[in-house]
Amino acid sequence: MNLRSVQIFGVFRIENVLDRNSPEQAYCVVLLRYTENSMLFNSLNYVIFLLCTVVLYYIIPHKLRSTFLIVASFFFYMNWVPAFGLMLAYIILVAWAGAWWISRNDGKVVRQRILTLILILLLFPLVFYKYAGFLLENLLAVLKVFAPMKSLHFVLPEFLQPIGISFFTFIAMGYVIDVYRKHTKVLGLHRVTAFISFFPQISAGPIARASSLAPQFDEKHVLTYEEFSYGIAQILLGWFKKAVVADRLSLYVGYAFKDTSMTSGKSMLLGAIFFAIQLYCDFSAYSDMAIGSARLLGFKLSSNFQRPYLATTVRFFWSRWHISLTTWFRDYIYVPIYNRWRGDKKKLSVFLSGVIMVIVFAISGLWHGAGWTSIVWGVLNGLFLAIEPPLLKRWFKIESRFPKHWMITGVMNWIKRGITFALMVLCFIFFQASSIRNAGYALQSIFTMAPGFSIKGHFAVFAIVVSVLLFFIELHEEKTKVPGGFLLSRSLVLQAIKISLFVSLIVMIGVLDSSQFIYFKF
Amino acid sequence: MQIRKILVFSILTLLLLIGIDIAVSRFFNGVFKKLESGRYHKNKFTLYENTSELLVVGSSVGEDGIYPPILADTLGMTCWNGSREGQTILFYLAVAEKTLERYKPKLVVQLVEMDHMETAVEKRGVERLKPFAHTDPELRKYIYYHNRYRRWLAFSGLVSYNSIYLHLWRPLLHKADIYPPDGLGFIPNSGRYTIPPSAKTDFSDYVMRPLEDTQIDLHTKLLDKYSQANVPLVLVMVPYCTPGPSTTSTIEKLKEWDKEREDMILLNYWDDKRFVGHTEFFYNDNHLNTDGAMSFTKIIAHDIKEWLKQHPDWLDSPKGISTP
Repeated sequence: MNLRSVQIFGVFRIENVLDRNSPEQAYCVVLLRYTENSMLFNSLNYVIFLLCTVVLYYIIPHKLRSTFLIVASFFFYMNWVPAFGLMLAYIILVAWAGAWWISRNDGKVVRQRILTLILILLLFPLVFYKYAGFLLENLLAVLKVFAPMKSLHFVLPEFLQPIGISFFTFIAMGYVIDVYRKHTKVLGLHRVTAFISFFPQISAGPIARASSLAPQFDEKHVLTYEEFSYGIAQILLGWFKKAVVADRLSLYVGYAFKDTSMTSGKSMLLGAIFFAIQLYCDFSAYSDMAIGSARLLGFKLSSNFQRPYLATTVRFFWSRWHISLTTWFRDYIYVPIYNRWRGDKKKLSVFLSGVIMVIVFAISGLWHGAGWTSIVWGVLNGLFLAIEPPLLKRWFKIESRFPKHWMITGVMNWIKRGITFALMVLCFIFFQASSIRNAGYALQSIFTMAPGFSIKGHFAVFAIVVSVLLFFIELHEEKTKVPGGFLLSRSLVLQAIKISLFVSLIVMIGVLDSSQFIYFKF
Repeated sequence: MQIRKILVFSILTLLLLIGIDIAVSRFFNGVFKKLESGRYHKNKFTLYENTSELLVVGSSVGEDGIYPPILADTLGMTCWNGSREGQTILFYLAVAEKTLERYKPKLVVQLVEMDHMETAVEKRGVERLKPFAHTDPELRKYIYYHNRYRRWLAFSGLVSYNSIYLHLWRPLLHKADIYPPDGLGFIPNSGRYTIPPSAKTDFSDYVMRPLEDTQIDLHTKLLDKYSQANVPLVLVMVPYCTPGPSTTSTIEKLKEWDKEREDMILLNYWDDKRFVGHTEFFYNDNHLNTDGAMSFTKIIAHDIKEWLKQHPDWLDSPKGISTP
């Protein structure tokens, strides 16, 4: 099977194309080949696409606009691998038919059964593409323990999963569950297609809810200078985070995590810190560009990141990080389990709430990646959330001993921010390491400050400079609550000057090679 | 009214951007021309000025692994080490093209690494040479090899001077150059490598990886360029400190070429016992420190000299002799 056939079938075994030691690396290499001239948000192709889409959207009559967006969205999505459009169409059709079927039945048991069937049908492609290899690998490992057979050897399949499958599957599942719960009304095929395939959110979120996004397709949008400015500012902020911070840091992170057993403790520690910042910038950049792009079309997508590293507790961190996914897990997994376990009681014990938290975050980890490292990352986060409330009580007791002065409160808050950030860095080591063993090497290297391969100083200097720049932007945003607000001005000329200078800054110091967004692989 | 405002804003921003770009281009072009030391100066020299009889080309393993004065003394030729950190085949092709346009070296030593032909063509390294694409359109096909459209962006000073400030400013800010004046393109590196206890030693499960077609094409082009110009080529496979697999697909391909072609020879030090495990010669796994570079260059110089003793006509007519 050659690369051409990949485009036709959309699936392939990586080992047929490349022989790489790490399937993840192979996946990225293959994906990069496809994305070389594709429409990544930080590519010239996307700028041209967005410009044409926005102009045409406002030119054509209102009645045709949602149809036009469907065409544009499928064009955008199928630009990666055309066959993936079929997968998207399948999810849309199942969601639409499933929701319609549920709405036609009143019996609780029947509705429950239909919902279960539809969720299985929606999850099937995700499980197949993302988890088949992982499940088989672990099944094989278990089989070998109970029945050691030398001849037992399978070639594990690894498939190139459709981009954004985790995201649009969750959007579709959310819609079906909302219809089941009667939280949203059932939508027609045209509207379901428009809302699930909406191109700004399709490849990496935010995970939109039908109740907030679908009605916006009925609104007659008019492009105003204000909306245009907000949209452009947020897109540019995203581009800055991606090109200047995330991709700059990724150079250091790449070296640090290449072989964690060889990296020195100092480089590993810096690499882990930079990875936490890189991941945030990479993903929030995508969200910023998605929200900004949607805004140019008159749509308002929900905020997905709100300066998470300024959070003072792990709980606050998760209310600011990947908000659309966190609330998805809260509404569709955590709350149902909580309510079921609670039964007739008023409240569930702290221990049991903690157990649910760990379970939910383990599932969240699995959503992020089919591997034990992702599961450990999820479990760690769940544990931190579970044990945080009693620890915070003690902390507040200590805090209350100090006089209430703004300076002391400020210092205390920064200490809490530091601790939260450190805990997240610790978790993200598992997120980035290719195996538990490698994560162990990384931790060992950090905690023993082991000697080994040291990354050249200038990589760190650049990374620190851009991180500090980001820090000040985040502080400003924390005050104004407007993403990219520092680029806006009442004066048109001043705003043009600010934006042209900011673009020049990005082009001068950013990494301009349309690097892949990390979250695309989810 | 709103659309008009958006249009005015967009045009104004665009004009400002063009203005900034022109100003940046002029400023950096001036700085670039005035550079008299540092990595970009070295590249300028390699691409446009060097006329040494023996040219060494490679990546960082060449830049800090080959000490030209030893080669010059042993072989009796003037020598220049044009290697540059982070570079691969696209840079080697650019050097070959620009060198052969200008003069015909007596001998070219090209450094190769154990897996270069098994991985996708690297683009980040060669894009560091963006300023050359700004001023020399002939080099755009190599520097923007991966994206034809981006060649158009070579007109922009902002794009061309993107992310190269360290190497652009460093020689201006620090008078002491990283290149010693008599090193002829060599970068000395100190320090001794420590092999981590977890380093892999058993390669019995190593699977030979397939070669990349593009890499084969580009490497063949490189060999042909020198061959057509009748310039003999010595391919040098660099050593590693920690043991690795006994061979790789790249090494096997190079051996195949070594047998087939008369205009090149392969000197393979990949698993040379004089280097494997000798941490005193390395500052990391595959980069030699100054002691290692001296020893390695002596070995190469000796081996080339021996080869030339046995094949005295090879330098004048590399295609005319048969390789054993």
